[in-house]
Amino acid sequence: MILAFLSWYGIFMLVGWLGFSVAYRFLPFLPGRGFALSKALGLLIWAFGFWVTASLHVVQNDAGGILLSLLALVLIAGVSLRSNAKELVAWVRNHVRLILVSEGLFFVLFGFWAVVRAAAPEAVGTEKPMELAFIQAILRSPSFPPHDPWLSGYAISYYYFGYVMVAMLSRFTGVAGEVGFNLAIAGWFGLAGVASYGVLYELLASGSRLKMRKAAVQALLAPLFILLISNLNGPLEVLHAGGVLWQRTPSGEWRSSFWRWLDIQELNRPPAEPFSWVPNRPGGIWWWRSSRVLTDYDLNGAPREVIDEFPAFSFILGDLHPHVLAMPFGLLALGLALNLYFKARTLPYSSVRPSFLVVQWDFWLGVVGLGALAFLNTWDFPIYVAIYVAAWILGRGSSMGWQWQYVREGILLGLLTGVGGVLLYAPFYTGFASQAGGVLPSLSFFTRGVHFWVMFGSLLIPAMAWIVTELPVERRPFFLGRGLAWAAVGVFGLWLFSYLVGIFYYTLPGMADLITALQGGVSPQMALLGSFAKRLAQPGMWLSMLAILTLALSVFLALSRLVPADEKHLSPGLQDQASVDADSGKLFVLLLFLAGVGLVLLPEFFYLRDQFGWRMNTIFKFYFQAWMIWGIVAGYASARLLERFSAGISAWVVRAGLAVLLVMGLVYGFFGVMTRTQGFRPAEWSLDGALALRRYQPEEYEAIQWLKTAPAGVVAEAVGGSYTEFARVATFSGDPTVLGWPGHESQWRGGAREMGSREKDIELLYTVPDWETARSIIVSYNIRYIYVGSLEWSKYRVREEKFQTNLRLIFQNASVRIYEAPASLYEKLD
Amino acid sequence: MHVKRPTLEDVLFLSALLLGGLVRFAALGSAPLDDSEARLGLLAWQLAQGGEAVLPGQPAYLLLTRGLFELFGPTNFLARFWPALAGCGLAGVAWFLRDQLGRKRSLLLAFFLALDPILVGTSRYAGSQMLAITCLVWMLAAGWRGKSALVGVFAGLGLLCGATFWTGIIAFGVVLWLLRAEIVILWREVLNPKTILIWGAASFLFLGTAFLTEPRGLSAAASGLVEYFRGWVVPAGISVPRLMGAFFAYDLPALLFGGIGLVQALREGHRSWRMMGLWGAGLLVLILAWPTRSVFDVAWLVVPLLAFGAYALAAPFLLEKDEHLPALGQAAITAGLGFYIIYSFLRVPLQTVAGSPVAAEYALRMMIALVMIFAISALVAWGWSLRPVWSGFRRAGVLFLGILWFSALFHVMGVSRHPWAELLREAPRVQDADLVTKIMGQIQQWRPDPHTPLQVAVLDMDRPSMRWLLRGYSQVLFTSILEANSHPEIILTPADVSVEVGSAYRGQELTWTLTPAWSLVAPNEWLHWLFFRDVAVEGQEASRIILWVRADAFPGGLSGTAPAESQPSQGSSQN
Repeated sequence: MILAFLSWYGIFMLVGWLGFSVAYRFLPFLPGRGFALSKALGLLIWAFGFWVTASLHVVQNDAGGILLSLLALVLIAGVSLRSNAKELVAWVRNHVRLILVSEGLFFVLFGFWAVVRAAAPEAVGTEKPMELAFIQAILRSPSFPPHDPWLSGYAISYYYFGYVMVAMLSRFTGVAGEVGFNLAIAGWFGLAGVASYGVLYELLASGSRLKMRKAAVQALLAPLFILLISNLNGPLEVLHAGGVLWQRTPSGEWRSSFWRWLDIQELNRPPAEPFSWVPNRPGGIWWWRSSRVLTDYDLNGAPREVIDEFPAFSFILGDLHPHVLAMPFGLLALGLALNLYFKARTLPYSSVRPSFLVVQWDFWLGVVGLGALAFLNTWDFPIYVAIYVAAWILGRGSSMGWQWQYVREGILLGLLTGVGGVLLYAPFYTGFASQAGGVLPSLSFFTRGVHFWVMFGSLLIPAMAWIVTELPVERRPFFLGRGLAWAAVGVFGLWLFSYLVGIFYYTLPGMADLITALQGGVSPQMALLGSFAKRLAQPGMWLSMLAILTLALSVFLALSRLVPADEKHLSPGLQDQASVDADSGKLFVLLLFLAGVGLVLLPEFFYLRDQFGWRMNTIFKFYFQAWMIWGIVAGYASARLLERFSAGISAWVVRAGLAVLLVMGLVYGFFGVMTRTQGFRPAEWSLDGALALRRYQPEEYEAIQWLKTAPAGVVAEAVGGSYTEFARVATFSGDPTVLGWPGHESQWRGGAREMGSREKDIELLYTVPDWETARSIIVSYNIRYIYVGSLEWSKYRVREEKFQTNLRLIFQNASVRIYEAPASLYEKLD
Repeated sequence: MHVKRPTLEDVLFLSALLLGGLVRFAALGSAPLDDSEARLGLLAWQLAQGGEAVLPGQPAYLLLTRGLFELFGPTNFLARFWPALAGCGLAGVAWFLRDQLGRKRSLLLAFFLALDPILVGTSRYAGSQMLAITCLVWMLAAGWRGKSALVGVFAGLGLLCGATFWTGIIAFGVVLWLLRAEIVILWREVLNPKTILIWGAASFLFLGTAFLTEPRGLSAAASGLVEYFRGWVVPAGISVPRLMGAFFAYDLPALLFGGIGLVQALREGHRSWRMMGLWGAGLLVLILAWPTRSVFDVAWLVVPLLAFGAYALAAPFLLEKDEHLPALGQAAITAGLGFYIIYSFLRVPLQTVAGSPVAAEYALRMMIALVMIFAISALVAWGWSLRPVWSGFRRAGVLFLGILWFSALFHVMGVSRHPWAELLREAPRVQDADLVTKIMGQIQQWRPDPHTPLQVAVLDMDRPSMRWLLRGYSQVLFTSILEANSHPEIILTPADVSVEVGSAYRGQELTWTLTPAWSLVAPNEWLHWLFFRDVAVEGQEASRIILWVRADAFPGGLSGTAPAESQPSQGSSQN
């Protein structure tokens, strides 16, 4: 276990330093040269090189191919260093503090979370089987694209780049996929932490050497806010479990108007007795609720589940889902955008041609980095490309004065980056089928204001406090007015537009039925009016957005020179402009803040249509990115507040406020980790994701381990629902099964066409007594192994005698038998 | 135009090369490929047919062999062609370094490299071992002569030879590090790093991808490095005693004379020879330490030892100007009596118990012969001096070792009576493959329609050697169970598995593989083995097969299809 951890740590260190050779050369505008981002960068370049060459069949999906790609990274690093080696050595000597802090941070985060995973390593429940199945399938596939482990005969139709990285690291270090699963969760915790540290460092360190030294410590606020702090449901859980604000009625019931008004599921019911300050929930996992703070209701009052995950939850849950895998690379994209922003500020040209952009090596770095996001977690791609483009426009405008030319440049840059990203990752797109089916107006689904503040309060409070202190000194009413106007246009404009779209959709027959069904079956008039009235009755969210946007925009407008100078007054924001020049990261931070607002505001009025039909996934993806971005802002804001108010009563107020906020935010993480790890007293310390299988179903474990050593082939096993034990053979072995979780396959492929009659055929295979029928099923799905275990027996009435008579028994233990279909079933002698 | 006439030296070098070619290529294709060779041969054949196979870490051998298979088809000879050619090329190194080594040493080395049993045995085995050794040795030779481009070319090619190449290159890397102070000067004066890099990269790229037709060759080359490192963690090789046993059995002369030469060279203090000695020591340590060692790894050790052997034998210590005749006489008598001793020992029946009258009789004979040797030696010493005595002993020793050497060479060529009883093998030798082919060929001819493909089913015997043997047949089915309505003309089954094929089939038992059970060979049997490759039946491990032929395939057999009641049924393993 320790050896596996050390081997992964060694690899991360190696790719980090190789990545830094590239970052040093191509991210020269960052004060820290992207040092803390280099692990993510190095891993990305390595994985991209391996994946694209394997997809083009230039290298094999084996350790040799991975090594060759690593050697290519070494070559790239060497070429990058060619003329910079001495300079880089001198830079390292001058930035020892940054290096020590960031490397120490990575080690601590990686190591700590490896311990957490070692206390709860099982890859069971929620999406973990799916994630493990992908990793094992990639390890088992001889070439790319890797086979879909839950639908034999097809390639994976999902954004699987993150799983390629995990499989690559597992194979290279010689650890099994199920161990790599847990090391990856811990590793990504470290990567995300150090990448967030890196982004904040680059923002804080611009300017003097003293600033750099202080920034090396201040930047630790970023991983604190992004990874460790939770939403305010954590302290609410503590209060709820402690029985606060619950009163017993004469009839003996517990009632609370507060908790009823708050209306967070499960918390709106009385807590378990006896009350305790340690969160608990009989029959459930208490920490789950923090990712389900929001609830949508249709116009009939029927609730709809909404996912509002944040990183601390995701890591405590331990899912290696794409939004987790993409975290370090989303932060890397922010770093690339920041470099672009600083670069744009230095360009002396009034206009820039496309050929200028395309010949820059950092452009291509951006293409690789941003294009990867589509392959890691598709939803991230447009978000970060938009930030990238906005960074360019902002950088140009803030230094040269506003011109529409910059918007054109930005759009061009965005197009080139987008097209380039699609082209570089073309093999992914050729096999990918999205479940997204357009955009729907969110009429009755919106976030309550109180839920919004519960969700984002721990980040917004320091961010808003800082923004308030940055309100322009000169012409404050002017900028506040402008800010309010723009905020109103944004909020009400989106609101109006969503209704217009809704009205338009109601005129389309198919869409009208859909929207009617989603809104609870009410008539269009009722839907429009009712939802309008509902929003008016619960104005918390849009009023909050209005206020936040007003404040943020007023500061932004003042600092960004987007508002032209008024000849009757001093050049607006001269004092503010000076502050921007002294702290060139400030505008970028505001841009990030506004991007976060956009991510939160948009789903209030529109959401992406998928199989679920409501805004569950849209909120999930957008809020998660908003958390990441606002986490950077909160870290920056806290650092600046602590600097600005460093003496006197205000210093104590700020420090106390932040301390209270941090304690409130850390409560969830503390209790969550203690619950997940059983107080760090597990029955067995292990990084093996198959631990539960090994301990509680040792025969199944033995059979699957044996299957991993046999030649690859399609496995027939019982078919069942999602989030169950079904598809366990394919999940743990990596061999493709005829059909795994039908619900997931349907989501990935946008329908059930590919699945056909597989579920019924597999049932028939096990239950039919007649060999010829079974034989035709075996041949039609190219089945090599037939697995007969406890799950098959419990699901079907298995008629095993036909297998015993006609197939070869190749494995047997107390509860599992595996039969092999001979080649004679498939090949015929003429 | 003045044409340079070939000198005696040129003729001798050419002779060495021709002899090396002769012992490597003679009957190269007669022995069937064993499982280890056939695995590679099948891969190369699959590549030649355009199939997508997962390439292991030996792209050089696979891609080169693929080329031959594409041109001439898959044969045993061609599967072993490149290793054999590489072995011949190794002998050419001596000619290449004739100025550096000196005339006598280079000539001796040429013959040694050409005729060394271990090198010949390795050359006659399909795989990358010989290619790796040749590439590295040529790389070092080119470096010695300051030919930077050649160094690059062979380095690039060597990197394509798989895990085995890394043994040699790492050992050399250690030497370079130990002598780094001196090497830096040499490096700058003689070699051009940029040229090496360019030529190395070009050869790695173009040869590794077979001129860009198989790009996966590059990642396969990287797999070779991974396999080497994995070999340290996952032990899967032969034991050290077996390895050293092979060394002593096949190349005792190289060991003895190489040792003498090593001591001499170190005493005389030449830098290049010192490097060679260090390299040999490094190789020895690495090979003994690496858990996944192959028996052919011993060939690495042979190369520096032969060089030192040439160093030793080129010195005039054997050629004495006076007392020549008595030395010759001493040698003749010693050799004669020595052979008598060995002959007597070999004539002792294998099952003879120590202390029995038979054993006593043979012991007495040997003792008398020994006493006679000492007596005659004493006489010669008394009559002349001790010098002719020692000279005689040395000459007899050389003669004896030479005969042993050539005996080993003869055996390793696979043309002896018991070619299966060689230590220098990766996998058991396939025995009766030619018989299987012959019978199947005859059945093919005897059938009513000899032009239709013969139907062959192989039950429970999916081995690379079997697949290779049957590669020319289009209707072959490897399966564990035959369908009830399937009646192929030929069925091959393991003899130790009970299979019911019905009365419509006639079967013949054949030996598929045969190998000595080395752990069961008694100490007194080793000498028999050394000279005759004779192993008692108890010390043999054989796997047998049964070749079933459908009765109507024989001339005059049942016509039409097999009777309904005599259908072949599924195989069932007794295990």
